[in-house]
Amino acid sequence: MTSPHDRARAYLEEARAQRPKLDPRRREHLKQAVLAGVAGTAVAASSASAAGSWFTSLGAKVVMGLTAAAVGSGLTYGVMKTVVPHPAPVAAASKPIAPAVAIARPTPAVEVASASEPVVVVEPVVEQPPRAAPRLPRTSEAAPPPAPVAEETPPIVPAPEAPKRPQNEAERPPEVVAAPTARRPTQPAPSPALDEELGHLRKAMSLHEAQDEAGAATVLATYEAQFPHGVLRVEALTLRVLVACARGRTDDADVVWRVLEREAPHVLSTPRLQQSCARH
Amino acid sequence: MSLDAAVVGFDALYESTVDLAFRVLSRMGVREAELDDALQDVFFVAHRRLGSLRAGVRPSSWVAGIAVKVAHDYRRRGARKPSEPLEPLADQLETKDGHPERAAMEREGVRAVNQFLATLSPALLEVFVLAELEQQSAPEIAEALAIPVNTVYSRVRLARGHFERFVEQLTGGGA
Repeated sequence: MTSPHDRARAYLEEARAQRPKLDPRRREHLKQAVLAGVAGTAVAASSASAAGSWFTSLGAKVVMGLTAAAVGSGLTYGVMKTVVPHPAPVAAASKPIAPAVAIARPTPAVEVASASEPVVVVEPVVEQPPRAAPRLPRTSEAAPPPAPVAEETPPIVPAPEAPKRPQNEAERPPEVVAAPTARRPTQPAPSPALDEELGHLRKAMSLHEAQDEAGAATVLATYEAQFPHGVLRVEALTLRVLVACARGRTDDADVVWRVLEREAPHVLSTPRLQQSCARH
Repeated sequence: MSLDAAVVGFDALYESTVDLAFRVLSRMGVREAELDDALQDVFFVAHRRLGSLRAGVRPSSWVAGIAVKVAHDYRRRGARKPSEPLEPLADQLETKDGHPERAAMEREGVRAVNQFLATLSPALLEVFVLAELEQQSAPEIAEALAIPVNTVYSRVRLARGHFERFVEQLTGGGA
């Protein structure tokens, strides 16, 4: 005869004994997704605190399949999260994992207080972490081996076949994605090349913030040599204006400004570029 | 804190607490399909707040507290209706010794607990999960949930009473 009290204790002990663990691959995958989101936001935050957060929208743009957030768009402090596709079934879980989805949600207003651009808040939540980006390289591994590139910034040559981006992204209202219960269609996974592009830009950005403008220029030159038609070209050009200004090379900044005028005029209105030394 | 410094500390934190966060989220009713999202949320918050983790606070308690808040957030969005059983853990049983009778008993116990969890209010659910299932101490729970220790004690006591009555009803008053 077992009393309800004893049975309750026995049930609890059984429940305690059940300690499912995440499959190692799922565990690692999630960690990388978190770190990628952190990396993107860290870079973005520092950029935003300087003047406008164009670099953040870069991260969001990547996650959104390069469609939703443009440089200098209203989706300031764009945040990212990817439900990364799981490479293997999870030992501890019996149900299939959600398919790969890219969702962008804005962070709470409190987190973007330093940003100068409008903030979109979906809903007040306990704490709304950014949606993690796809696998991004960490700082330590982000920087590719420096290519033998001259420190001097090479002249800007407009790419004749640069991929056309929608020019009206800046005018488009920011896309707001609500709670992740409704999944968005699967976005294609970013290519390793995209990761590499991001790595270059993160490196350049951190050098620029560390006032190592020559180093930043070198990284940007490497980037442009390696990815003349890269999907992050506009971001690289934007950073290049800032770096040129920081080096006192107004003429260089003007040249890059004119390239941006042709290729991505919508970014020229961002505070960061408006406050730059480039002629406008 | 620099990004790299945060990452270094974060690795150890993540490895030591991700399973705990997974269990807390599951037991608090986050759907399996949303667990990865929720886990990312938990550890993104943890990463960001890592610098505020005070000495003397157990990282597991700290992460559990974050997981509880994230779980509440997901529940508020309608991730799971209160009456729905907690699917993930109920289905993830591994028999300890391969005996079907033992497995059946365990299944019965775990299922009962999961059904009970689905009946609890958020305030009782969080303390019950942390105290009874994760076996965290009252001071740790108080720290994690930012509530007085005495409140933890009283809620745990209340939830235990509910659980015994729930089991009593479930088993028809005794076996």
